[in-house]
Amino acid sequence: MDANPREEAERIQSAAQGNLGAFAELVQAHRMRVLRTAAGMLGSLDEAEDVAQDVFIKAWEHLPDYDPRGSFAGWLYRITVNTALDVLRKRRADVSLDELQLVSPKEDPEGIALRQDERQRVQAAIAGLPAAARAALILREYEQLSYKEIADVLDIPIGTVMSRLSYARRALGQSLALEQQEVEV
Amino acid sequence: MQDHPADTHLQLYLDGELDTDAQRAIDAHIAACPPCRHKLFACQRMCQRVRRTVPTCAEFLSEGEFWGRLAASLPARRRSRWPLVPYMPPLLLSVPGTLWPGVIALLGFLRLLMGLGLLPSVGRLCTTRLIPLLAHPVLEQSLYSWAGWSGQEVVRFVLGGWTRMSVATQDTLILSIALFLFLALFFEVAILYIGWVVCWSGATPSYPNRR
Repeated sequence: MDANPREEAERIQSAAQGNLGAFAELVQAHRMRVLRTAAGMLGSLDEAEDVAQDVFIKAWEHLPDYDPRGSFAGWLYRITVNTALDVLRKRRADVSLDELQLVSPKEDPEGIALRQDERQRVQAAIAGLPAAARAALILREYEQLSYKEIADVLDIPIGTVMSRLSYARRALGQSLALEQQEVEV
Repeated sequence: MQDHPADTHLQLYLDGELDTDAQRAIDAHIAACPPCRHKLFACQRMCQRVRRTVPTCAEFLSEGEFWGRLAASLPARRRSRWPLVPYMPPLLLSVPGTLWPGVIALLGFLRLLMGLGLLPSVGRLCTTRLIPLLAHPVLEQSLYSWAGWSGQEVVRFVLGGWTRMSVATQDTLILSIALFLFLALFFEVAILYIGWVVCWSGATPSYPNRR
């Protein structure tokens, strides 16, 4: 998960001692991972930005406790998944899927229309998955993590990763197929 | 491969989590088995659909904006943390665990020395100090007055029971009370520590710069 372990270790050490510049470099290197994971978990770019902010604030506060034997990206993924799960728990029950759009308002209207349609379908299907299965699916499909890495991030055995992914894909396949049938009818 | 691979095997194959031999075996099976090929392609297509929804960098705030917001929200000082916190649970378990036998042995040894007459009896020492202690004005004005007792009544009652005991029993009783106090102190420290850790780890800072 890490590109340059030695350089990164130096940055982490420096940031842990309070060097904001080193922390900025870490943020720059890992920002998209955190944003993508949060967006996948929550189905909303705005909420993903907020979660990413929270994740990096937590990372800054707890950097002195970070165990350098583990992967820094894995540590951030774990904070991201946990923070996103907190948001999902706190999210109002009446938030409809229409409000959750994984589409940026910065895109051109045509692009928005095309991407919105497909994204909304897939995102609605993902949102229907239980949070645990969703986390495993997002880490696999969005972040391309191996089963071992997902197991480390979610702190579960590899067998559980396998079963969660299997369940998530089966449920997603059924949900998308059902939705396709409805569209055709 | 004669039998169809299980769905979990197909999933592992799709995710590149199988070893080379198993991967080759499934390759061969897929080439010869249209239903499994269809199943695999369907799963692959679905995964690709999910991957196509991955947001791109351009859809989020720019790096500068993101950092600007984050830098403004970062607490100026990290919350200070006692460096021994991570070691406290093992310390709490091991220190009393180690001290317990020592304290019991020490008290037993003291009791032996008292029994042999090599140390003055704590029971006798207490007897001489018990009357001024029980008749202390602070107790008279607080506990006794609240309970409706007089100091003399309490002294008479306690001394009556105390002097009926043998000196050996008095010594044992005093040492047992000391042991109980040691234990109570440990539990108090443990409860305070657990309470503190729960409050400390459960505290969530407020982030004023949220959107």
